[in-house]
Amino acid sequence: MKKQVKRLLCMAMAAMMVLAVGCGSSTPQSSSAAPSSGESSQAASGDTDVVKIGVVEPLSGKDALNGQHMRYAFTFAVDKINAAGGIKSMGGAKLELVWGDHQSKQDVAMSEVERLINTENVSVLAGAELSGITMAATQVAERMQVPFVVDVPAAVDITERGFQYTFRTNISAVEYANTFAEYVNYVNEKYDQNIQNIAMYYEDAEIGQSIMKVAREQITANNWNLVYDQAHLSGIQDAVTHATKIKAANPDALLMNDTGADSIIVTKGLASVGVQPKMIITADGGYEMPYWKENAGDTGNDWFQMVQYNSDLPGMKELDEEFFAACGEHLNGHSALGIQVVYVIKEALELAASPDPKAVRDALANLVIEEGSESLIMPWDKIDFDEKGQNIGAANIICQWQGDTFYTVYPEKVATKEPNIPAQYFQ
Amino acid sequence: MGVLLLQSIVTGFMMGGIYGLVILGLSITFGVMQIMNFAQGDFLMLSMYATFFAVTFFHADPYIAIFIVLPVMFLFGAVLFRVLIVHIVPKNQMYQMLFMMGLQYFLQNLALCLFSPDYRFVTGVASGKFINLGPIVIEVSRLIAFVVAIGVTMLVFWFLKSTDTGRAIRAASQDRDAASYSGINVKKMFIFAFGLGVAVTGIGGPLVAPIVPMSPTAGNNYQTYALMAVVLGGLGNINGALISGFIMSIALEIGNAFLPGSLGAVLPFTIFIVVLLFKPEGIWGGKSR
Repeated sequence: MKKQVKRLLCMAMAAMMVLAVGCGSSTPQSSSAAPSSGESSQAASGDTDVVKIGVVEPLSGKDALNGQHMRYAFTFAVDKINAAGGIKSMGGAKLELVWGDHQSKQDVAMSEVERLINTENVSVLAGAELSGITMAATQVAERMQVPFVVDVPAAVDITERGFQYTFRTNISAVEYANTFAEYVNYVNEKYDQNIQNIAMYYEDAEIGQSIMKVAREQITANNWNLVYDQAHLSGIQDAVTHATKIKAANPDALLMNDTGADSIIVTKGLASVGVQPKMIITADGGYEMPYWKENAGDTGNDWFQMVQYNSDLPGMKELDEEFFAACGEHLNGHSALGIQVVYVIKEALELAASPDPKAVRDALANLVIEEGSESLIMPWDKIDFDEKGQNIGAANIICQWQGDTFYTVYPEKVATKEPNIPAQYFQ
Repeated sequence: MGVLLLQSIVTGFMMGGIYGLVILGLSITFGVMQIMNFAQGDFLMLSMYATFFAVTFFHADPYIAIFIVLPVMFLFGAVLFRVLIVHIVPKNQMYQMLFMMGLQYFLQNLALCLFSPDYRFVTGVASGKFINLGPIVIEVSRLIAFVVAIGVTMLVFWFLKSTDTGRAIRAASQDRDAASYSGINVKKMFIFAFGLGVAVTGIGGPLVAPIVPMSPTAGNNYQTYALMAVVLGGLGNINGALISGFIMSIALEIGNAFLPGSLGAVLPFTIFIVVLLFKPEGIWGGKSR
């Protein structure tokens, strides 16, 4: 009996060890409120001194790097807004960030959102860097009727659930397919490229599948030929075999979507067989990351990438200098979107003139930020949320690696260089 | 179509060599002390990171780094056994299984804490180079990995068969008591064997690091297929396990080439299930080592 108890105890301890390692403790960071700059905060009832914004990001865990970037971005924007006088329609009320660390775990994200709403009484939420986590976090926000402004995730489903309290600032992934079609038509027209045969090679994941679904529709609508359409295993170890098939299909344009390590493996595979389309163009994911070009080196030359941000965009250089001075990091696509989210919230609060979540929600729904506004950071025509909560003004830009520099080549009004097309790959 | 099949077989065959290193490490541990090591793939992952640091600090080529990584991994394995694993040797299998699974989580999360989730990669003298044999493309790094892996496997076989220590290890694995009566220090042999198992898998690190970017979960893929190969080959049958390793890796490559999306892995798993349905002891199971 004693032996059995001992055995049971050891197994229980082993199981607990597994659980303890798997789940961390969430250490919510306290807010980074800017000190009151001496502005008079109205003591009259109904006026607020401080409006709380609850932000859930992966501050620890496997996506901590991105989470920390978002932390810098949100803090930077809030400090800037507070220094400029806060929310004027609320008597100069200051913004205060309250942080939730979701650790890249859905259940933690959901409990953090509940905590931010119930205990911290935030007026509005923002986050969460990752698509799956955002899906879960916004569910809680919807149920508890507090608006949630989505920063980065492009997963289509985020705005396809009929939610009233979810507002996505960034593009929906299907926009990549639209941008792709737009650009092919553009280069066919302007540079006489006659791109007709399209190949699609992508990771078998939700984003990849949803982008390529719309891409197929675009290809049909434009009377192009789909010569190759292959989803590959997420975490693919070797792409040579597929690359051989792509080469045999001889496409004019190759459209791809891969995350992380897959982007490196795919690039190697393509380089090994020497595919030679007029255009290789990527959507989202690993290709945008600095480690991709570092690893690809010359084999990454002339690649086109659809992104939302580039450092050579108008106004970005100055913003980057300010940002770097504030936190010692350079801007990237994610932090730029984070800053944009804070300005969206600021404008919504100005419109709502109230910290009540429902009022903020209505303000977000009615909000339009036009080109020329100081609150429009991204290179978009406007910010305007449709009835699904999707910002219909969000758009991609197209950049190309020419040597070791990443130039914006489209749309024309923000382009800093002409594209190399037809491109010369893997020389 | 034929080219594609041939390409898959060639690539799969070369990767089979690396799986073989993980399988060999697993087999040594299981053969000697009857412990199924669920963390073996993570030893490969750790040696990949060891390679990264050796390359970064000593500015060495990853293939030169083998000479640094190898003794480090051996020591790591020996110390890990002496401090931790030795305590679970007398326990029952369920206990050992849970423990090793826990070790797996521990090592992965430790790597996550220490090395961050960022992908790291090293480039070697063979990076970016390809050989063309007709229509078949062979990545030189994979070829080197294959050749070295086969060489190491043969070396380990020779060691176990022909050297005194090797024979002592085999004796300790066949019958602990009898070996002990013969004057073999069984405890020492266990430490050595575990260190050897980790080191053998550890050689895979410098070989794989120039091929695939490393991350804390890089070992999971190898772990899954190595475990399957060990079971498929018949527990305790090293030769069978190694051959099964090749079967698994070739099946995976063929699956990825011809089946859409993520279905590629269905092929090796289907083979696994079907074989076990008809021969639960494995293809070569039932025979002694």
